Formats: sequence, C-alpha cells, structure tokens
Amino acid sequence: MKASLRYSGTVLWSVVICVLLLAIFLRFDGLADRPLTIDEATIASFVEGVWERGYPFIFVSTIEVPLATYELVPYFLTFSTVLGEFNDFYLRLPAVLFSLGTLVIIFWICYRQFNVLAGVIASLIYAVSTWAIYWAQNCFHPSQTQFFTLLTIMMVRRLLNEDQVKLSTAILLALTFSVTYISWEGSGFLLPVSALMVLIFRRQQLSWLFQRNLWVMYLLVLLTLVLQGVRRIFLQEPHLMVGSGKGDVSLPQLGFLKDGWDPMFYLINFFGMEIHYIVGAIYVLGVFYFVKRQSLQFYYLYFLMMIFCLSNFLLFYNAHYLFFIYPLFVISVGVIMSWFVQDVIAIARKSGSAVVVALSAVSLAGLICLTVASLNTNVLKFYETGNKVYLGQRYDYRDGIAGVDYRTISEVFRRNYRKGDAVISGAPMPTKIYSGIMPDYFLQTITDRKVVYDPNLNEPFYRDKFLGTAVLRSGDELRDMLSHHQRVWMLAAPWEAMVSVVDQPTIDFVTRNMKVVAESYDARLYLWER
Amino acid sequence: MNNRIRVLIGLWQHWLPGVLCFSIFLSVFTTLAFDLQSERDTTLSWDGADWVTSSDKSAVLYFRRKFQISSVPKKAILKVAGTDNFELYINGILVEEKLEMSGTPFWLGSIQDGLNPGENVIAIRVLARTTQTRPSLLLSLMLEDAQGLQQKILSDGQWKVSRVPEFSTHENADWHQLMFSDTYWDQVITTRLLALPALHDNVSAENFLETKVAGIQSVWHEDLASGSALFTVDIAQPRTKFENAWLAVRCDGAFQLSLNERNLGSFTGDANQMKIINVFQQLTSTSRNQLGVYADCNKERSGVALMFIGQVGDGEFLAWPGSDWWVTPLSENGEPRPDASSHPLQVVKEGDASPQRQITLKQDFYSIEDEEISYRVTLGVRGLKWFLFWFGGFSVFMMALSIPKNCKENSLLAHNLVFLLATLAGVALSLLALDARILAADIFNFFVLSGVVVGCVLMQLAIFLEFRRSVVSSRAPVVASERVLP
Repeated sequence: MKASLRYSGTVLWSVVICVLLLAIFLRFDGLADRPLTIDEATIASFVEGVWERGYPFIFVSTIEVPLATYELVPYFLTFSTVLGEFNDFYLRLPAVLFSLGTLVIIFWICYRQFNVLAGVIASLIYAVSTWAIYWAQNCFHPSQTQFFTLLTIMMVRRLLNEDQVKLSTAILLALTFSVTYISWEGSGFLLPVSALMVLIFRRQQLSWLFQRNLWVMYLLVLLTLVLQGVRRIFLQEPHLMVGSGKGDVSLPQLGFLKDGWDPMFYLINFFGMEIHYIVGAIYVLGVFYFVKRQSLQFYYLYFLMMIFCLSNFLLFYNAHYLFFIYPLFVISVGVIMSWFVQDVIAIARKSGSAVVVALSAVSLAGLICLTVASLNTNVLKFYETGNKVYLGQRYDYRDGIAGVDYRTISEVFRRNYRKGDAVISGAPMPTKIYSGIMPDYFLQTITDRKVVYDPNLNEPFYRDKFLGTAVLRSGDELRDMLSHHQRVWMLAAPWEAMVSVVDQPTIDFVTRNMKVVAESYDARLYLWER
Repeated sequence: MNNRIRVLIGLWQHWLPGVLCFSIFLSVFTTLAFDLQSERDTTLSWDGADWVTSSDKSAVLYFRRKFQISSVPKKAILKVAGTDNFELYINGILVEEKLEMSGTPFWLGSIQDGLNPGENVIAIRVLARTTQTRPSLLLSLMLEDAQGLQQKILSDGQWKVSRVPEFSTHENADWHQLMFSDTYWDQVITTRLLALPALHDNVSAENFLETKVAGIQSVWHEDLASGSALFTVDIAQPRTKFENAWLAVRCDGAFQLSLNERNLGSFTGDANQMKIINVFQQLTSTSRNQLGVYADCNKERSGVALMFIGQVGDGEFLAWPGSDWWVTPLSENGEPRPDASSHPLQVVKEGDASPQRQITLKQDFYSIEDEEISYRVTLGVRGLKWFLFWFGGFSVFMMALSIPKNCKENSLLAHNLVFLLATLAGVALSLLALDARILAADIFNFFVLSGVVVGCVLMQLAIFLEFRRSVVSSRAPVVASERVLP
C-alpha cells in the first residue's frame, strides 16, 4: 500500500514538473524575439529612472514626471536588469517569473482545495495558453498584476473560512491587495467584488464583518487607496494640456450612463477569442457544477463579477484588462473538467467492466488533450477551421505575429545618424531605448494623444506626453522645421496608426518628399536631405 | 470477466443499430465537411508563374518589372498574390491595396485601361505580418491584343527586388513609377516552398465565372444625375430551372443585394474588378425571384455593370443583362426621386436594347481552373476516422447511460429508437436539401457544427441527470459543513 502511494506520488510530481518545464520552455523560447511594445518601452524608461535616482521617473521636456500608476512594476524590472543587463530579455524576465509563479499557485489552489487532477489540468491549460504566454513575455504590468491578484484572492478565500479572523490573515490580505493595487489600479475592482463575495458566503452571519482584526485590514486597505490617490493627484500637476488620456478617467464611473458603454465587450472578446472556444464552452456548461457544488462557486462567481464590474464601471475597454483575473477562469475550467472526468469514470466503474472503464478513460483523455491543444494557436488553428484564415477577432497575441518593429529601424537609424541631424519619432521612448538617441520632434497634426505645454521653455511648441519632444502640429510646421535642417530622420512607427494622428496631406508630403531608408513590421525609417 | 463482456455485448445489441446508423450518417457529413471540402479547393491557373522573394530576410520587399507592349491590349487579366499584404501599382497608379490578413488571398482584375503602348511597369510592395513568413510575390499578367496575340508576364527570375526603395537616379520618381531606376536592385529568387493560393468553399464557382462575364458592359445611363439608384430584375424562373446562378456586378463603390426584398448582404467593389456573387441558394422554388441591387457607385468613372446568369446545362447559361433591369434613381435620403421614374430604358445605352439571351460561354485562356476532386484512399481513411470518432463517442455515451439503469432493456431500446429517428430525420432532411440543390458546403457545415454542439450539450446533460439519480445520492456530501468554503 505504501509502495503504491509512493508510486502515485512520484507519478504526480513527475507530471507537475513536466508541466512546469513545458511552461518554462514556452515562456523562455523567443523571449526577446518580439521588440518592446510602446507600453513596455514606457515602463523601461521608468526603469532607467530607478537606475538613476532610485525611483521611477522620466523627464517630459524639462518637467520631471514621477510614475503615478503601476508604481511597483519598474522595481522588479530594475532588479532584473541590475542582475543582468538592460535589454529586452532581462526586462521581460520578471514577467516570465510572475507567470510561472501564477502557474504554481494555480496548481496549489486546485490541489489543496479540489483535487490533484484539477491542479494538473488547470496548470496545463495555463502553461500552454497562447494568451498567457504572450503576457508572460511582456514586461508591462499584466503578468505581475495577475500574480498578486491571485495571491489576494487566495487570501480572501482563506479569510472567508476563518470564523475568527486572525490578525495575520487580515494583514496579509491588506498587504497582497496593496501590492496588487500599486501594480495596476484597475485591480481595485477586487475590493467591491470581494465585498460581494463576503456578503454572499457570510450572508448568514453578517456580524462577522465587524471583527476587530478586520477593521485593521479595512484601515490598511483604505490607507493604500488614499495614499496612492493623494500621491497621484499631487503628481499630476495641472500642466497645460491638449487631448485626454486614460489617466483622466482612472476612477470608476457609471459606464452604463455613458455613450461608450459596451456591456458585451469582455464577454465577446474573451469567450470569442479563438483559444477560448472549447474552454469557454466547458466553463458555460460547468454551470451545472456551479449550482451543485459550493466550492466552485467562489472562483466561478468571482470571475463573472469582475467581468461585470470591468464592463460597467471602467470606461476604457481593452481585452487585456481581463488578464489579471484569467487564473480564476483557468481554475474553474480545470475543476469542472476534473469533476466531469471523475463522474464519468465513477459511472463506468459501476459496470465492473474494464472495457467500459478503458473506453471512458480514452475518450476523456482525448477530451482533455483537445481542450489543452485548443489553447495554443500553434497546435490547433481554429482560425483555419472552415477554411477561414481570419475569423475577425483579435489575433495580435498569436505566436509569430510581428507587431511593431521599433528595434530594426532604430538600429539602422543609430548606425547612420550624424551629429546635427534632426529626428522625428512617432514613438519617442522605443527610439530612445533602442538607438540611445533622444528624438527632437513628435509629429501629430490630429490631436489624438495628450500633449503638454512646457512653461519652462521659451518655445511655441506643445510637447509629447512621452519624452516631451516638440510636437509638430501641422504640415506647415513640419515643412518649416525641415527648412531649418540639413538632414532629418523620421522614425514612423507604428506606421499604420499614423493615419490617426497625422492628416493625409501631411502623410502624402512625407511619402513624396522623404526617402525610405529602412522598413520593417509596421515601421518605416525616412530620411530627408536638403 | 467473460461474463461481464458477454453482458456488455448483450447491452450493446440493444442500442447498436441506432448508434451505428447515426454514426455512419454523421461520419459521412463530417468527412464531406472537413475533409472532402478541403480537397475541393479551387486553384488559380498561374500559367507557370513562381513565387519570388529576396535572399535577404526582411519584413517588407519591393518588387518591380518593366515590360514592353506594342499597343494597348484588348484584354489584360492580372492575378496577384502576396504574403501577407500588398500594394499594387501599374505605371505609378495604385490599383489595389490589400490590408487585411483575410478574405481571398489574391487579387484578380482587368488592367488594360492602365497600360500604355511602349514601356510599362508593375511595382508591388509586399509586407509580411508574421515573423514566420518572408514577403513573397506570385503574379501572372495575360495580355491579348486586338489581333488575338497573347503575351505573358509572370513572376520569375526577371523581376527586381529591394528591401527599401533605394534612391532613384531620377530625383522625382517614386519606386513605383516608370522613370524610377532600379539598376541597383537585386534579382529575385524563386521559391517553391509556398503553395499556390487556393479558393475555398463556394467561391470557386463564383471565380470560375469571372472570365465568362469579362465582356459585361456598364449599364448606368450617362444622363442620370449623380446619386444612388435601385436596380431590379424579375427572374420569372424557379430555382429548380437552374443548376447554379450568379449575379455579376461591377460597381466602383458600395452596393447592397436583395432578393424579394430580403437583404442578402452589402459589398464594396472597385472599377477594375467584377464581383461575382452566387445567389443560387437564395432563389426561391417559386417563379417569383426579384433581384434588387441598391448601388451607390461612382458612375463618373466606370458606371455600374449588372448581369444575372443562370446555368441551365453543361456550359449553357441564361443571362439577364442590363436591358432587363429596371432602375429607380434615389434621392439622398434613399427615397425614389420624384423627377425620375423607374424605367428600363434609363439603364441601357442606345443600341443595346436587344440582348442575346441564350449564351454559350467558353473558358478563356486566363481562366481559373477547378481542381479535380481526388477520391484518394486517404479520403476513405478519413471517413473511417470520423466514423470511429462518432461511434466511439456515442458508445461511451450509451455505456455511461446504460450502466446506472442496471440494464433496463426498455430504456436502452428507447435510446436506440431516438438514434434511429435522428438518422432518419437527418437523411430525410438531406434528401430534401439535395432535391432543392442547396449548395453542399453550407449544409455540411451546418449539420456538423450543430451536431457537435447539440451532441455535447445532450451528452453532458444526460450523463449528469443519470449520475445525479444513481451516484450522487449514494455519496457523502461534497461540501464540508464546518467551513463556509471547503
């Protein structure tokens, strides 16, 4: 008996280690292949600030702008780049580690609260998910936020199970929430949803809410919110600005009263994602277990409530805003599948026939394989089913999709740059990071992105919100600038998005009068010479 | 053990006929939908052209080819494919821009209007969107002059390529213009790693007809004031009269298609391309089939060209050309204009009033070729695969259902009956569909998709219902009582 247990334990841990190794391979494979995105380059610029002064900041023109959102993210990146080098690989290393940490916690939650099969299935789903891999290879906040979110939710669940809440649990929860919140403020929706979960699961004993130790937690959480909010307001000096940014609407709003309200956005963009067709169906059909088994309700309901909050109270919609609660979905699907497997096997075993059990086992193994395979676009190409190349949904997270190649054009630019050349960049931060040269101008004739005015300078220019380069706000200003220089470079990336910030006559002027020196994925390097 | 297997076989016999029939039925449809369909892809005849690319790895490549013609050709059919997006210029004029990784993988159109006697240039910028592909070009231009002399311009080793358009010796010439000097550009290399682009599903028949309506004329009356118009034609024939049916439209702008006032979809086109839309499925089996085209096209450039074509036999077609169509000019708010009444004479030009109704169309040299369906052995194996898939799945399902019933024969026979009825209903529906000659691809996909979805739902519901009745009640409670959440 002991030998049997030891054997099954060995098999179990071998499987878990295999899943972990698979996840490690998939996340480290091609980690630095994709150039930094604009969000990553922004965070990387703040990392340079930490290197310089010990806290994240950038200069927008002459104005020092400390980081007032995602405050915690640059520190992990700084630590990684201190240990290694300041390059794409080490900048993304923390995201990979957070992703692997999330995978381990997913397994642990399923293993401790449900069963080992749920742990294996859920961790396997997360390990191979193309979406999870994409964000594990991206140094922006989602991977980190997701890791701390899962820790927070784990603590909420633990809290719910304590009739007499321990002070350590309350403080730990406040701590994990605070860390999550300063990784991304959007995670603040964890608060109302957690409160709802408490009301649902402690509805018979609402006095539980008023324990002394919980008051400590309330105060700590409140302190975090107030401190972050106050700091943010103080740091957002009332610069003279044109345009708007996401920072202007960072507080929750009654979205359903606004024109841009789209209650189906997350449902369509999440369940309609090609990798979520099968797991999405399992999640929906798993409503049977949701009704029947209370232990699933917590994760299942938490995920749905978060979608509800993000759909209705956050006016900016972006599919990746759901990523931080992705583990809740993965856990739910893993648990549903494990229970389904157990139930079918139990039925088969009642027959007493090995043939029936074997047939059931084979078909269930096939179902699990199909489910896992469906999560990776390199394995099961749903978008090719029915001979359709592209089904219309978002696909930029797919392995191999190039994105915007700031890196290639910046390197060509760096090799050919001469002192005295003027530089226009559509993405100043990636240009500075990859070429090491500070651009001079930002071309935006249509006010799409926020631009600021620097009162310290005696110049008639607005400044871009990234690095504060002078904004050329019309084709005339561009021509005027050209007339003052011998050679002008223009790093036009992302090229396809330029039509939203530059009017067509100016784009025509650029394409007619400037020569393409280098070109890559959605990126062009132009040179103008007198 | 032997007894158990014997019992199992005994059980099996109660539901085997139904499951077997239903599995065969589904496997036929699944094979047709997933496997046979993929073998029915239609490939273009690329006339011997090869994919060309550069030896340099790059996200973007620029291709150019100059060629001489003695006179403006009567026909110039161009076929272009690129990985993934491309911009096509003829003598410096942008003819086509493919921006999406979707839709038909190539562009096909007539370009004779853009060619000049003497030297001409085709310039194409091809952009890859994934790091796994290298920008490559496949092109075939077939020219035919008034005397019937043919000339081929193909993508081959004579093309020039560059990662970026290098500076021209002619200061004012862009890379896509004739004057641009590509002396320093590289020679392309040919590659056979890429497959020839295929058309899928229904589109094959539509493009097959492309060549057969190449001579279609513009029908918008020249005197008609600017604005949109509704074109209608009565096809006083039931669907059963035809083997297939298409609507050919050339419209430099947007147009909406309807049948018996039921919207069939919105389309956009350009002056150089003919849209061939299969309308066979939508025709009714009565004699009332009124086609409507709400067109908002740029009549200044090329007008609107319309023709309904019904295939009545092998190579025999009936055509409803412009003279059969009625036009109703519309005002800006979409209402019929009070100053212009519906009248067919507004549609046709003088001299076009007596159309040739019965036409026999031949496939031209620049046609698209239908690839023969190859009934290979592998197709049989695939059919067997699908049969095993369905039969195995239903067998597991039935075993799971039958076990808690403790071998009650009535229950098993009821299930057997359900499967048999489902098979019969499916076969009957299929026969009806075939009788109505509804195009196969859609019905196959519909059957398979709905079958999979409904099957999954039913399977799970049935197993859980059985499970709840027979197993759950005998188990210890799942939720631990001492905790709010176990």
